[in-house]
Amino acid sequence: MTLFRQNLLFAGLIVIALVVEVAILVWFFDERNDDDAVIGSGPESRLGETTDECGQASPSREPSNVRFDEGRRLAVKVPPKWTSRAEGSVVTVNKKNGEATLSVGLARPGGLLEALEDLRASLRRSYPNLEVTSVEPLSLDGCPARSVAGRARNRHGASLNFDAVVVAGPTENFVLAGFLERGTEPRLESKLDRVIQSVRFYLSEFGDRRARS
Amino acid sequence: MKKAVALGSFLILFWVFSGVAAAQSLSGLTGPLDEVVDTVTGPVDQVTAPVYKVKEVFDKVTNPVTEALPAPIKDPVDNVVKDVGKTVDSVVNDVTNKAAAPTKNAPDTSVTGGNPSDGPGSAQATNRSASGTSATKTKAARTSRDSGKSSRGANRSEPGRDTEQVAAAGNTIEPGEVKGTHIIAPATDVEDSQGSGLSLTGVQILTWLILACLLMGAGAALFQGGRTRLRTARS
Repeated sequence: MTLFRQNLLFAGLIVIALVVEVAILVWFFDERNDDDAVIGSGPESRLGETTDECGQASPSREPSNVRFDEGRRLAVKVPPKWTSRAEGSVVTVNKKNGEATLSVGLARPGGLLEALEDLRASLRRSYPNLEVTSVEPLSLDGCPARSVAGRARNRHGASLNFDAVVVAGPTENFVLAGFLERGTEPRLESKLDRVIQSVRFYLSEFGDRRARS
Repeated sequence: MKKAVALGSFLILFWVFSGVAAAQSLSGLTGPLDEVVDTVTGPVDQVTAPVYKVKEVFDKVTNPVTEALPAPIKDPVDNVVKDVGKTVDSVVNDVTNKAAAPTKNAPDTSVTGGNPSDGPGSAQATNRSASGTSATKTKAARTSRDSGKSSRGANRSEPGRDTEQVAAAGNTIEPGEVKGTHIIAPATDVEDSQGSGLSLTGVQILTWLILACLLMGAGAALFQGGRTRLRTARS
């Protein structure tokens, strides 16, 4: 093998290395982007921040990857590789491998604190060894809300982290709870958080602001 | 040739370290991978065995309780219905007795209103009373059932009912072992076990390292072969 051929072979090896590197980067970052694409376009409200007025969003303007409840009072954006279903006023989205789930529905009417207490009581009934780590006021889709976060073990013995929120919506109170198995991908937690942030509450199907009165 | 070797080595080393660093930063691991793995592996290994034992005991306790739940819940409800029936019966009997007592104590009334039809009439009254008792009982039972239904119905129509359903959604999640994947490390109540398992990120880092090692090996073999051939050609 001549020196030229040897150099040529080495150059080819470097090119192959670069191609493999790019391929792995694409593999990694593609999946990462997939995760980031949970919310899609549109204004996002971070927990604790107010970006929109409560109930300002209109169902007719939502993208196609959202799941409405049957009364079209709320909607959740469904991330790629997640499944969703609506049963009455409850919308549930699940990660396909079953590591995470989020449900949204109507909460007890009345004050936010009452709804929060109702939520905590329900959580305690469902998970006897519930451990609440934080209770915080926040804003979700521009609506005042309170969150409860903590740990629990479900009836299958799975250790869960949960983040539950009660929201004083435009016309009604809403409750949502996200659960994920502890020990899963660290980024799944932030992904679930983004799914929670994607929840929208509506005054009515057409965003009729008169419904507020 | 030396330049090519230096360039190749730099490229490979850069690839290895940049890849690992990128993977670590993206996965949320803050420190070097070895430190993180060492830090997490020890406590998790120490905790894993007791947790399995605790889980076995927990399952032994929870399974009978879970299996036994429907019957005990159903039985008290039936008992309550029976008790309600009995109470209604006793109340009706008391009322009947009290109603009958003045009749017995006031023969004048029966005498006053006495006619041949009184016998059958009283029998009818008794029958009526008996049927009334059973009717009352049936009605009471129905009322009891209806009240149960209506309370459940009220719960259905009450918007707050969703809270229970939403809160219980976490019970649909099955542990990693049940799903048949041992990728996820068993979680513990003592501390978070995030990052303790061989996750997708770990697989990616390992793939990255293996490919880098293979590439380095291939490069080394190539240079070694080239040098050998060169020496052979010179000699």
